[in-house]
Amino acid sequence: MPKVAIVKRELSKIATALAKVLVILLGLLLAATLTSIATGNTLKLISITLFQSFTNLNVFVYISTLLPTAVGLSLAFSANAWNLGAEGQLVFGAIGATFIALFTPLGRQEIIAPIAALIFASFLGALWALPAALLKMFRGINEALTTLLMNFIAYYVANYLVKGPWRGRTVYGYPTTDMIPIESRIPTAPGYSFSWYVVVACIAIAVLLYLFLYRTRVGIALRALGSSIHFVELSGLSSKKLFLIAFLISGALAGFAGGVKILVYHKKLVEGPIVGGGYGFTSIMVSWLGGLNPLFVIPASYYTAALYILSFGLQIGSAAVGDALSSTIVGFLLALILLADFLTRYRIVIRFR
Amino acid sequence: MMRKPFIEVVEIYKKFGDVIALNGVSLEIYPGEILAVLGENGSGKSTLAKILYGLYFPDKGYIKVDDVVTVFSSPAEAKNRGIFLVSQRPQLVDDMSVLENVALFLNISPSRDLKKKLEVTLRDLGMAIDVDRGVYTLSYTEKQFIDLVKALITQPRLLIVDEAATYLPRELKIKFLDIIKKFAARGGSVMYITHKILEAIEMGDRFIVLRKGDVVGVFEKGVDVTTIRRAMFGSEEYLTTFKRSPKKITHESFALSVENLIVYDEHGKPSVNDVSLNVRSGELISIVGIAGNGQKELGEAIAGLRKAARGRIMLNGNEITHAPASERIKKGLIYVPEDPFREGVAMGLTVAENVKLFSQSKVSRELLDALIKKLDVNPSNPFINVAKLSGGNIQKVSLARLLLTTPKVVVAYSPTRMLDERSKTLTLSILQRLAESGSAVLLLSEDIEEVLHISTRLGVMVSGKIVRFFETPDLESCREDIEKVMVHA
Amino acid sequence: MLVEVVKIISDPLVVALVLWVLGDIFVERSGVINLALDGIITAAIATAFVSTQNFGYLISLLITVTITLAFASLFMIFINILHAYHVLTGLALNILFYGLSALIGLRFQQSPSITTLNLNSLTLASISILTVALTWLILYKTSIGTAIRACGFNPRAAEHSGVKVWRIRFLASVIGYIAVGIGSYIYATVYRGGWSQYTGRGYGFLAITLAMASTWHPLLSYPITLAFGYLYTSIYSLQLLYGIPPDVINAIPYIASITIVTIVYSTPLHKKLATPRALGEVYFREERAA
Repeated sequence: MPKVAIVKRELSKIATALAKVLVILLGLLLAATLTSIATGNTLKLISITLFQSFTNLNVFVYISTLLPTAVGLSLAFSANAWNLGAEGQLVFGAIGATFIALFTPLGRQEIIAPIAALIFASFLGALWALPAALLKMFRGINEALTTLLMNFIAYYVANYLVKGPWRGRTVYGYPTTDMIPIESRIPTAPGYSFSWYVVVACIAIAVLLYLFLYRTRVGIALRALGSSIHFVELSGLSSKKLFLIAFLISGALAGFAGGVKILVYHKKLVEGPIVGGGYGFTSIMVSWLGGLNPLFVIPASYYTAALYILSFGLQIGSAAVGDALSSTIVGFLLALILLADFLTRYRIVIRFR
Repeated sequence: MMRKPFIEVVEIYKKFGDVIALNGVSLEIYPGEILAVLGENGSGKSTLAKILYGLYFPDKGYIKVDDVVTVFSSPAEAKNRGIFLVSQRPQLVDDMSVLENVALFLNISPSRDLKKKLEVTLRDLGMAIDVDRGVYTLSYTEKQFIDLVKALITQPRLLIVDEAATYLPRELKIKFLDIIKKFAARGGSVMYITHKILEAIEMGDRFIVLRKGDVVGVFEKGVDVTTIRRAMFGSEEYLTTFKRSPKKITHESFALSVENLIVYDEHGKPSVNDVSLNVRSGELISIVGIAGNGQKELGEAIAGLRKAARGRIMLNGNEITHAPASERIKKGLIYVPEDPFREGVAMGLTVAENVKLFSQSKVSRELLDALIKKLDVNPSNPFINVAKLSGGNIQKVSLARLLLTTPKVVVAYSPTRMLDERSKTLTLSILQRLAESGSAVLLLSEDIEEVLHISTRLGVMVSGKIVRFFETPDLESCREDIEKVMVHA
Repeated sequence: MLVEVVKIISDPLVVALVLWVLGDIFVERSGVINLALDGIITAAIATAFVSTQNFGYLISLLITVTITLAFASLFMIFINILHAYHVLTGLALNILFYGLSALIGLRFQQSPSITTLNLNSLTLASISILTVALTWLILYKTSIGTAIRACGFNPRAAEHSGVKVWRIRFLASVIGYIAVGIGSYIYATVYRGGWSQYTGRGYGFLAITLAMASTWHPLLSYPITLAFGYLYTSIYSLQLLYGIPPDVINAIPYIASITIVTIVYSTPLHKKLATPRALGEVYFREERAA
């Protein structure tokens, strides 16, 4: 009987990156083939859609949400803080931005309005992350689970607001608020629903967080937290404080992304699952695809954004089928990322004697 | 001896990252024979044991058992061939009872019949252990014996003993080794792994010496210590000559004092039970005891990694009993943990990043290179991931924390366990030098050799209590007394 | 009071929840964080619904359990062979399984509802009580159960004792996911009798939380799940009585489950009971350790 074992391997950084890219490309090819079979479209048509997805400027719509969220999460995951609640934190950010824009006098002040809205959005995002962090720190309750559950609660809070106290006067019974004032919106690129200001800000955030994680003592300690809490403590840095910092930054950045969604894209608060749109979940995988390095998260978010466009390009038949199909494909590609991770870190040895 | 060997190891090769752990090792073990395998830490002894027991999978080479060529891909397979490994740390599931652990090993349900059988076996060996007790309630030695007994129940053909008795005090060791000798006398094979030459000579019928993954010597019974030592250390001059420095107490006040400290382990059992001790600046005090008697927990409680349930810990007159570890470090206490992989360094980071974290202030490139040179870290590139280094070198990186400042208090727990003789000597001399330059040093250990020559005072810890302090200029002469105290409270 | 208790014990939704929680206990006792449960339940419910519609109740049960086990095996391949982070794997596979659930449902659905399967109270109550008893027996009285718990406590020591950790984790998930499959079947055919896109999403996370609140002990999980079930089934009458907005009502189960865990973990109780310490640990046999 052949003997099978799994042993570690150490690939260079370049080889690791190459291997990941290769697996991802293969995955795309496979996904395209499967979709072609499922939808009956020719492979050629799908390849064209594929190419168009990656060259469409609309990728920035998705990058504006995915990049800040995923960068924040890479910080959290580096520190072994399993914040799976970006979706809910994003929704709370959206709620916060809407609140400033619609219900405070700040909402009608040019320039000040979007800035204030984004600050408050980040604050609410961090606030929504806080309970899970505290429960972990003081009660030892698994933060992955609590953050997941908090997502659902956030959905229902947003739903309650748009169907109840915040329902707009001019929306004819639709579950949304009124549109936010012009002054608080962030100007979009002509003909598109994204803003260059936001794109630049997102990339700046990624670079800043990279410098923080790799060049400062606190940042390095955050990364060390992923290996060993005791090590960090024995180096004279408070692991609890670092954990909290990581958690709050990731919550704040998800909240920021939620605020951006309102100020740039929706321009009003809508139901929770629509605001969130699953981007909070997808961002988790984006951060892993980027190897938890904020700089690599930039291309990772670009790739994932293109996938979104692709999945809409493929939506044939009912919206329900389209949604199901894109979820399946995204799930499949995420699983491939895990496979790529395995292939770069381990190898399978088979011996026949 | 014209008998056939029970097991043949042929050209086994194993690499971890860039570190070659075993470089084509071959040997054979005959029935009824005790083969002593000698080597320093890092020579590959344990890796070899783990490969024979199916815990590690060899890159090249194979094993021949009863003329069948094979490699094991799990301990279950090795066990089926009658091979069992007793390692230095007892491998039992703490949260389950003794009975459940034995049932797990025998792959049967924890039934009443098994309970009876086990009780009889234990009684025959003169051990009175309630088998329904959780393993966590047992002492280290009890666990060690249970590990051995559970293996013997299955009547194995090869017993691999990996430093399992090395740190047991004489009396218990004799009992432990007796069981092993009897096993061999009845025709069983034993692979006895140790780095202590005298112990190997006492036990072995044949000797194999490993150095850096190579077999560098095979000897028959009757070989002398010098020959083995030369094989183990090669041309490297190895002579640990420590001169105990005369006590130079710079302050009369205590730099570190522990008052009536009680610490509970994960299972709510007191592992440190009413310990008081004081260390002055310039003193090097050691606390020694059999593993599992509370030295580790004492160290961790002083460092702040473990909660103090009662009592006080004072650092330079300031109470730190409930301060988090990070605060204590900032106040000038340094703790050197035993396990470099999980506590000593952050495995995901580079050497430079690790060192950077040890220091409150900026670490220049020059300082970094100087540290690496002083600690003899190999390879010397500070920008590679620490995970690429060997265990001994990782421990050396962890020791860099001692060289960045002159700490007020140093607490170290088995800091040399992963190190070869040269690095061991280096480490102990660093600790000694720190004491000479005014640090208060507390060295916690399981290894009497490690502490005997450098301590100014030596305490013995048994069941969570420090039962006696020894304080004479000539601690070596008290060795037997110390060992006696270690066994009997 | 007694009537209330009987009602809860035999409530098909509660029975399904009990089975999901017990299934989760098997998996997590072996040391695997079982986040994929949510996606697998969603897919299993869709499968149960459409296969009942197409092949009748009995064959549907077989198909549901089979598909559930297939999905669980995929999960276990990632955990045991690919050594992926448990949380990450659960999350990625959830997205995949949600999608698949909808594809399965939309593709094979013939009408939006089926006639619910009529099981009497006694049968339903027996199913859950028997599963509780069986779970306890397997986990605490058999060699397999001993091995499963050992893997959750300390996979390294278990391996050293001759347990093939990956195989035991696989086995635990097979046993556990049989319960999950049956639970999902009961949910679809006995309780719900209908299906729309993503029906059942969220229950998996609730089940995981309840298992955690019961410190992964099957006997403790039963009263805790019943208490939760009581709350869950009674809040909808609150809505009718007091006119509380449905979105507030919908959020209550999630708030309640977090609250229950917090309460349990604030008492000394959870420290007394042996919980799987190695939960979520990526177990690699050749990992370096001192």
